[in-house]
Amino acid sequence: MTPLRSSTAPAGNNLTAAAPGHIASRAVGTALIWLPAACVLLPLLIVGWRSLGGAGTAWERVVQYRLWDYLGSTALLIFLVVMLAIAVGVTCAWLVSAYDFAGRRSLEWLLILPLGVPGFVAGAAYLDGFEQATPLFLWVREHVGLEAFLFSQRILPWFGTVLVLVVTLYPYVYLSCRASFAGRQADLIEAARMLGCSPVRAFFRIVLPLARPAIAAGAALVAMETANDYGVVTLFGINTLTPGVFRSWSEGSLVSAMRLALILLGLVMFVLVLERAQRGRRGYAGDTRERPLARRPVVGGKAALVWIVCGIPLLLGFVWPVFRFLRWGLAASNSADWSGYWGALFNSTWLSLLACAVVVATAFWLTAGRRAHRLPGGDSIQNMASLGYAIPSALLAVGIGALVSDLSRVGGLAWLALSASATGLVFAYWVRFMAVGIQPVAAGQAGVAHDLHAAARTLGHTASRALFRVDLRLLMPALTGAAMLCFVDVFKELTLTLVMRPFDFETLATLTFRLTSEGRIPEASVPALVLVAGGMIGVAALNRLMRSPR
Amino acid sequence: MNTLLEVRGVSKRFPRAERAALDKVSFDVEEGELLTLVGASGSGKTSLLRILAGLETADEGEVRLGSVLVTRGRAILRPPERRHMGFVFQNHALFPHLKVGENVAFGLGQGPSGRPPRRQRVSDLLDMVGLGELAGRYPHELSGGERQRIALVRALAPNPRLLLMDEPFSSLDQSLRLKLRDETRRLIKRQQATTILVTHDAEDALAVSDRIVVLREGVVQQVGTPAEIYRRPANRYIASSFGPCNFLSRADFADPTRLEACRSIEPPALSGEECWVRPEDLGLSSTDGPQSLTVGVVLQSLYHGESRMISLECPSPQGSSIELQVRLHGEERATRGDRFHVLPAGA
Repeated sequence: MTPLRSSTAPAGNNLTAAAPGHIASRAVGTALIWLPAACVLLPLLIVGWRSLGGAGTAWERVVQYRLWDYLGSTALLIFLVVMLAIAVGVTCAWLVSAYDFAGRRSLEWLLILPLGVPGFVAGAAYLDGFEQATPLFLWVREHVGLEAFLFSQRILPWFGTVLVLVVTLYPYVYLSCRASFAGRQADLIEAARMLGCSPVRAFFRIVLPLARPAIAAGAALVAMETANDYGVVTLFGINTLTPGVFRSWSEGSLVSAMRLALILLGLVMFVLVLERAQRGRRGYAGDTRERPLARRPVVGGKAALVWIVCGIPLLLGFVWPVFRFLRWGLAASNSADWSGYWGALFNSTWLSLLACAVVVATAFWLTAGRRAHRLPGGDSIQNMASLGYAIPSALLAVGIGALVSDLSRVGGLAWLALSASATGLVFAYWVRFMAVGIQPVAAGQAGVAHDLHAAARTLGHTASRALFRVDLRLLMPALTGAAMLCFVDVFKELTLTLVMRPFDFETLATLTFRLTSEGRIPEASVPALVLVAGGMIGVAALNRLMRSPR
Repeated sequence: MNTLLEVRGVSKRFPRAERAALDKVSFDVEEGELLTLVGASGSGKTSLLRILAGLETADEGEVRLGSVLVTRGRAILRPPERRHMGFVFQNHALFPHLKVGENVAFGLGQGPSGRPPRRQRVSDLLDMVGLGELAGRYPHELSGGERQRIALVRALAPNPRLLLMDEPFSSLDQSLRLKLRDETRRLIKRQQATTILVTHDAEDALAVSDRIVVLREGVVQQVGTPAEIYRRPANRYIASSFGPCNFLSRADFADPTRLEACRSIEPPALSGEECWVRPEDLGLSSTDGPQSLTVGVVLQSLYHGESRMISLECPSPQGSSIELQVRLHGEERATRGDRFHVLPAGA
């Protein structure tokens, strides 16, 4: 995103003396403000429009045989994962916020680590556990009966999927709750106690209700990630909507795929509306001058108990998968395809860097740039551009995929078909992860006094110069955080990459997933571990962004 | 009158603090009285209040409520929820997720008085502060003054044995503060609630208190009625904290015995070389007389509405000069450069 050159305005935007060049530059700036939001809406419009077309018998078959299974599975999976993630996330967040014990500060960030493990990587580490369980099933068939055996066979993939998704996604709830518990509630808890509440009652009457928006925000992220998941459900063979979209697409029924994608979007929107609606008129933010919670010290057995409770999700979501892949990796190092790994690493890196640069530049432009140049379009611009995060990957993939293939059919644009898949992929990343960049930067900007920009302007800087000499410097921590988060999100992205990548093009994520689903898990261990290592960058960024307001 | 609360030798030192936050603090609170803890920030007054409430532990000392020992040293023998004390927090600490009515009802049904009809009690309380129609609002929809009133009735709702208020007026602006201060005192007195109020504002303390405890750096300086504190301050710090004061040396006057006609010169102020005289205890005269203390030239004259504060520069017998402040209530005029004789007020 290139900065605006307000060349003709002598010192900033003097609206009354607007020269033609100035008007032009404002027009370009305004267009650039609206462009991201328009690009986010584009795939939606394409899918909405195209899905109106005839689908023939393919759609009828989908409705008849698969749709209800998809819907039921998706809804049930989201429900189970969200409920369990809330239980795990709230418990861990409360324990590290309300109590002080040996190693609390380490545990505080250790608990975020599972977020750096992509679901399909963690899933692979548990997949073979099923084979180990075979004797157990034989025992069930012999001693409990055939029905119980069949039932356990149906339950098992669910058990695995839910387990893997919960232990890798609970940090979303944990992080938002920790921020809520860190918010100044000490006075409120004390007020409740002065009015006759025991500490336990105060937790249920004050702390939990106040954390509800935070819990809901974290839970909404968990729900969206679950709805979007392709890797874990495919590994365990659960038929949710996301793999359903791609199945219809690969069967050649684009319209069916688009309709399924729209249904998935409806489901996600429903979750988001629920999240919004639960707030109501109530207030949740305490007074900013109130004191934060004083941590109660615990030692000995109680401290050990805290470690055990918090240790279980950490163990399941991080330690165990990493440990297994490390062992596989060491055992299979001679059969490893190093050139394949290097190629995938190279592809993952440049894709992530490119997407991350575009996203961060957009975020800077939509927040600081818009304000500095007083361009039209309020916060709604940011909100619209952030919508991409709510659009399911499956929908983006079919929408942008259709757009690319349509464009390449136009005369003289055939070359697009080859290069466009990479361009389309970066475009898709941009749309999907724009919110990841905008949110930290907008939050960072809220903390920067507008006076500082104004001071630079009164000292003779143009808007653009002030933007780069003042705002950019002040926003650097937020921009860095946004860049790291975005890098990692693209680095480990699977769903979009899998379906939109050019032919014979592997990233670390697709390589890991392909090897895993082909049953070549040991060979997948090197890319999987690199993915986890990359994920740690994101964890570090999150930890830093979460810590700063405290 | 019966003693409701006894505080005996309470000390507290926070980790890594240079000095004790509270140093052997002792005082009593009588049934039905409004006692104010006054001190600058850091004087330990809020810590003391929190220890009384059971929200904080002491290091040593005892707190007795009625005849029951509730805190002894580091032990909280009775947790805050079982002390039947009301607490009004500095920032009100209204529960943001509960409606006003629910906030007020929060402590009901668990008090010593059993379970009165809650709805009726809530609306009675709200009516008492004239906010009956706000029961359905959320705290963030209220103004600062409304929030303060709600915080007060919420604390009063369970009929606490003792009401504790931590700087309840400090978050309000000046005009609202005065109004609410008087209103609060009236309500407390009508409810016959024994109250301990913490404030840094000496004027508030003088206005509302039955008795005042002055704290400085964790040490009790003086306990007394507002008039005692104002008229007979135990030390120079208290004298200057509770209103403007002239600190005079007897050597600055040709005839120091004439000072004794000033009302504020009472023991212990008279004892030493130093005398403390409040500006309203001095007067001005354009003519010399037998009462005249000294002669001064007006440096400035500040108009306060109901009075006028005159600063004068007066030569002392030792050759230097002193500055005197005199408060005039009449319509006498004094402009910069005028010469006046200074004499005890009313002389």
